[in-house]
Amino acid sequence: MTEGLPPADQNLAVEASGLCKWFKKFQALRDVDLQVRRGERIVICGPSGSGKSTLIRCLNGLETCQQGQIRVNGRALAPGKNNLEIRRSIGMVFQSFNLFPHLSVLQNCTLAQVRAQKRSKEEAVEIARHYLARVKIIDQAGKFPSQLSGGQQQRAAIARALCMKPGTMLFDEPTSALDPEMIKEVLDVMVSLAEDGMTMICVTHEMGFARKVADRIIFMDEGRIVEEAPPEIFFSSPQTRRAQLFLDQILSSDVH
Amino acid sequence: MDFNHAFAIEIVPTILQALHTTLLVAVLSSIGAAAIGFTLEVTRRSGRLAGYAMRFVIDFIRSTPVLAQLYFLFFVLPFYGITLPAMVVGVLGLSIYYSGYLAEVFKAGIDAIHRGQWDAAKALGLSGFDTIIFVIAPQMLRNIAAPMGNYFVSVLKATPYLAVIAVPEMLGSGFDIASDTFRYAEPLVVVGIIFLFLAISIAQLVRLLETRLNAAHNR
Repeated sequence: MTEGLPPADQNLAVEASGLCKWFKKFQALRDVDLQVRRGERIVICGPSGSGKSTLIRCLNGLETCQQGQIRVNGRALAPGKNNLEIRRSIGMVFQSFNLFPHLSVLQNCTLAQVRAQKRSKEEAVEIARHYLARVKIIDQAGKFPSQLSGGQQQRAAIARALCMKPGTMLFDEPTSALDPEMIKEVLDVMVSLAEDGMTMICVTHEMGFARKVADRIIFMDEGRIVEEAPPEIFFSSPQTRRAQLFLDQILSSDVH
Repeated sequence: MDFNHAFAIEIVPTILQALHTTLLVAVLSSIGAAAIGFTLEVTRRSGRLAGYAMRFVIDFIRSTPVLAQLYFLFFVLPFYGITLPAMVVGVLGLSIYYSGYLAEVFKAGIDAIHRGQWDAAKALGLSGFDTIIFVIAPQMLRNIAAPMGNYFVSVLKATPYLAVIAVPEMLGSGFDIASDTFRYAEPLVVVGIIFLFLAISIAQLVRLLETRLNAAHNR
């Protein structure tokens, strides 16, 4: 199961080794290795189609890799299986929010707690209210997602994921679908999570956020990890021409 | 042949005696068809082999006449030691037949749900069963309230088929009156009007349900 991976290390939240993934004939991931320590904040960036989203969707088993191994909190991800335990220990936030439209914000936050974590209704509501307050939308708890702004919806989605009390949070371009004036409110929540020591793996184009909270930037291109460095080094002296080009393009239009 | 209004009114109580059978069969068959159809569609999605098998079952159900299925259940099953009351055979037969069509409606309703809903449910660690029941089914119902209602009306209008296996439904009891009195126009018109009234009522109920489901979503 875990050949290719060293013995489980208690300090690692996520380990991946030799990941290869094809969609039909297109190879989305090429031999990707990744190790994330507990409490570490990783930002993954790169041009579109470079495999960033595919990589983090593999980490909680939303996509299955044809080759390679993944271990989360020392537990191997079984390909093709449901991996419910692992999924419950990793929270995920999506570009398109993916709140359940037929449930209120509060119900969005309690459903998986009650059904998957087997918490009592009262306990689930209490936890949901705690995290909704934390992302500052407790006053919207009774509303339906369609009644909220994009920024509020994304914060509700973050609260929903936090309710599962995950050790690691995955963010898949959480601000890409938002109007500019709403990006900050979501990033603020993410910054405060980082300050609390949450293990975070974020795919994002928000370079200001990356500079501020990332311990390490991972730059991907054409399914490979091309460059890996702390932000101060990555932004000031990128080692590869591909990363240099990417930074020139993204920073010339970056207002943050 | 003159239409005799007095005679038409006189036979209404007799025909209405069969109304509860017609309604009972229609309601139970609609529930049965929805339950079987939903199970077929969910099973069809569960894996490649199950997909092929359920596709075949759904196509088979839809491609054979409902009368043939009813006759089969009523006359052939007893040879294998399964003898069911006519009423049960009727409900079972209509449930199975319309489950094939409802499975297709459910398929469209589920296909219309954004892929991200499955992703979110999975990422939260919901089981497949919980995802279907708490995330997918409610959204599917909202998508398909209208076409599903149409099939419930179809089930109602198919209940006269059960006359062939001696279920005392409304058209059959109307026809009994016709055979006894040699007056055909009045019983058929009375039965027709009652069916029309029932069908319109169901359509209205479905419209109401649709409005409420949409209201809950857009509130």
